[in-house]
This record gives sequence, C-alpha cells and structure tokens, in this order.
Amino acid sequence: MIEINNLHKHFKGNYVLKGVGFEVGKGETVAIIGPSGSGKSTLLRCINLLETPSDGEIKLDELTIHAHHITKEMLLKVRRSTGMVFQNYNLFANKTAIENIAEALITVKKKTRSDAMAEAEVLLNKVGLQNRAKHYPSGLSGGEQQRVAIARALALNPKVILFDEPTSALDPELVQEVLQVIRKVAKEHVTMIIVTHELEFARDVADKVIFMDDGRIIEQNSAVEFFKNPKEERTKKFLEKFTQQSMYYI
Amino acid sequence: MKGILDFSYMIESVPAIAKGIPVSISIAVVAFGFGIVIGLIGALAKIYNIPVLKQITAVYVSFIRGTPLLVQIFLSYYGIPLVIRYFNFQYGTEWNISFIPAIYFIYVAFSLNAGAYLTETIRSAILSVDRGQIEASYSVGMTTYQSLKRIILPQALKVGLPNIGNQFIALLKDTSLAFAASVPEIIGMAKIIAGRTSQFFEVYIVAALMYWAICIVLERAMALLETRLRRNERGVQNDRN
Ligand SMILES: Nc1ncnc2c1ncn2[C@@H]1O[C@H](COP(=O)(O)OP(=O)(O)OP(=O)(O)O)[C@@H](O)[C@H]1O
Ligand SMILES: [Mg+2]
Repeated sequence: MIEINNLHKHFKGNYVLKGVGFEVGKGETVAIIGPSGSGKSTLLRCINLLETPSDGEIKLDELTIHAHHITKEMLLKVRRSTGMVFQNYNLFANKTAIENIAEALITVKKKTRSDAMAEAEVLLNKVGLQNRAKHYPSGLSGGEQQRVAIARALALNPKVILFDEPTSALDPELVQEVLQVIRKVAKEHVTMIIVTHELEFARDVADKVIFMDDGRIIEQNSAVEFFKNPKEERTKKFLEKFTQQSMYYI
Repeated sequence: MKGILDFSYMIESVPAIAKGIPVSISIAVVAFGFGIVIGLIGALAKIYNIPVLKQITAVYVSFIRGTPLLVQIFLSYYGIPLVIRYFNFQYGTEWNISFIPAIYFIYVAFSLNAGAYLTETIRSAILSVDRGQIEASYSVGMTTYQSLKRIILPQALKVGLPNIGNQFIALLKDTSLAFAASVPEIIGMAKIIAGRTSQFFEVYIVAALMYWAICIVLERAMALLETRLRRNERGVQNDRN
C-alpha cells in the first residue's frame, strides 16, 4: 500500500508539484496522464527520492518518509523498495543484459554472482530475452533494452515499480512488445505507477487513472469511469485532444 | 674531421646511458601512480562539490598548470629540506635531510604535477558518463560508492584511456628535467658521460633515440589496451572474458 500526502516540489522557486496526494492499493496499477510539463516525471522521481521533495509525506507500507527528515538509510531503503523504468532505458552500458539485471542483486542484496545470475536468468526469460543474455545494451533494440530495464526493476522485488513514459522513446513498431511485457507484469499483481501517453493502454491495464495538470491532480477515478465519464473540464479537453489526434492517425 | 658523428663512440656510450632508463621509468611510474590517486580525489572533490577539498583542488590545479615543471622541481628540491629542518627545530624531531636521496624530491614534484593534470582528465572522463545510468544505479538502491566503482569508473576509464595514456607518455618525456636535481636518469647519465669527452651531440642523440624507443613501445601498449577495452562495445560478450 502506497500513500502520497500533500507532496510539494519546487526547483529554486519554480513550483512543479503543488500538493499532490493519492493512494495505490497492493497489486494495483495506476496510470498517470497529463500534458507536458505538468510534473508527472517529477512526481515519480520524488517517490523514489531521485529528487528530494520540498514538503509532504510518502508511505510505502510501514515505511513513512517526511520530506524534511530524510536520512541516508531511509533514502537507500526507499530506493531498494521501489523500481524505476526510465524513458531512455538507462541500462548500464558496461554490463550485459543479464548483468544489468543481476547488478542490484549482487551489490544491494549481497548475493553471490552465480546466485544473482541464476535469478537474473529467470527474469530475462520472463521478458522473453533469454537469447540476449550476453548482449551489451549497444547490441539490443530499444524495445529489448526497455524489456531488460523492466527485468532490472523487478529484480529486487520492489513494493512498487515506477514507469516514466516507458514507450515514448521507442520506434512505433517496438511499442507493443514493451506494453505486452508490462501487461504481463500487471497480471502478476505487481504494484505499478505508470506515466504514459498511451491512453488506449492506460484504459486497458490500469485499475485507476490520475490526470495531472500544472503540478496538481485534477481528477482521479477508476479507469473505466475516468474514460467514460470524465468530470472536470480540463480532463475532457485533454481526452478530446488525444482522441482527435488518434483519429488523424487512422 | 672524420664526419659529423662518431658512431662507434655512440654505441660505446649506450650501456652507460641506459643505466638511466630504469630511473626515468621509476619516476614516471611513481608519479603516475600517485598522480592517479590525487587526480581521482581532486576530480571527485570537484564533481561531488566537497567543501574545502574542492577549493584546495582548484588552487592546486591552477598553480601547477600555471607554473613550469622545472620551477616545481626546484621548489620541491629546496623547499622540502627547509620544511623538514623547520620541523626538526620546532618539534625536536631528528630527520636527517642528507640521507634523503634527491629522487624523493623528484617523486614529490612529479606526482603533484601529474596529479593536477590528471584531475582534469579524470574529471571530464567521469562527466562523460551518461547521467541516466547514474540515476538508474541509484534507483536500484546502489550507494554512491558502488555506483562509482561498478558503473561510472569502468566507463570513464574507457573514455579517458587515450588521454591518460598520452599523459603518461608526456610524463615520461618530462622526467628528463629531473637532471636538474642531479638525479641520474637518462639525461643525467648522458650529461655525466658527455662531460668526460665533450661529445655532447652524440650522447644526446643516443638519449633521444632511447626516449623515442620507449615511447613507441608505450604507444603500442596503449593501442593494445584500448582494443581490449573496446571489445565490449561490439554488442555481444565473448566467452573469453
Ligand atoms: N531538475 C530540474 N531543475 C529545474 N526544473 C526542473 C527540473 N526537473 C523538472 N523541472 C521542471 O519541472 C516542470 C515539470 O517537469 P516534469 O518533467 O515533471 O514534467 P512532465 O509532466 O514529466 O512532462 P513531460 O510529459 O514532458 O515528460 C518543468 O517545467 C521542468 O522544467
Ligand atoms: Mg516526463
């Protein structure tokens, strides 16, 4: 169970998050959508403390973090119980696919290399890349890199996986293979928060959808209700713009 | 006059001058070793904004880069004994300056010199590593130290190697200035030998050829090392490593 309360973040007077709060139940998938610059990435980065929140509270099960008292141990604890999948994959370029997944098991969980590699192999199978184990990131397609990144995020068995536009950097023909892997993970009841522009996908896999604009949550609802009966004017406008856009694509 | 060069004299002088080779190499190796350590500390102080250490590094790098190596050698050669004498006087210690071989002052001067230049090289190599990978390492809960050791430095080394290698070669050539502190490296030996016969030109040609040969070997070694490190960029791991 994850709970975010009154989260604020500003960069030198630039207010990016202006009091964000929501809950994610165990095993739930939450999609966050919203226009560019609304603070979606910053929100995810605050949750795993890649950015230090300016104010507010984050609860991950029994672990409670107040923005004003973050110790080094807490920081590591939070990061070890959250996984992150980045837009640009960010795989370790000096490690093979399987080593990327094993890395945290070795350094953080202190497993032996052979144990870690065995576990990593299972995860590599899960994302369908058993035949790419010894490839370096430079020898993988974007879709494959992102699938490895998902396996890397799963490795520590985190309480939640944060996805920041996992398919935005991909060529269109590679998007589906990555979404397919995310769907599969969602089915295993891994708790996930996904920032995405793929509304179709959000409707499909998310239990709950959150719409953000200008550093605030404008509307949140179950995925079905959210798309069927958006309540706020801004949400309607945003959804309209997107449906129009996808109509042009047809 | 028989000709411009006395070849047989040149060949005769080789063994005597060659006695300076290990000394030259030892200066380069010692200075490089300490230089890498100093450079790494300096680079990290700058990158991680470590207070005090960062300011000290800035002044140190600026001073070393803004003064000639020969002057730094003199400062070390004449300055360190003064400092030791002061310590003996102030704190009643009994370090005997005359027992310290001149080469130690050379080690100090060259280490500090190499450290300053390597600070900049190592800093830019570390900064060349993609910020996203560093964030990814933090996102799985790795500590700053683990991230440095396992993700950042291995990649920085690959980027920085050509520069670092060139610096080692430059350092080796700079060791020729150590004669100024009467250290018997290649040029020091050459001067002693030529002093007996006044055939300076021949002796210095031999010395030049020795530097040249050493540098060619170093360049080859460097190229080999680079291809080894680059193997990883080819997409698939070989079974050998
Ligand atoms: N490190 C930073 N320093 C200063 N400003 C920042 C920083 N990170 C983000 N911002 C600012 O915060 C605002 C929100 O950025 P954020 O990346 O969270 O938006 P987003 O909703 O993820 O947008 P997009 O859909 O384009 O990814 C932007 O105006 C951005 O310029
Ligand atoms: Mg973003």
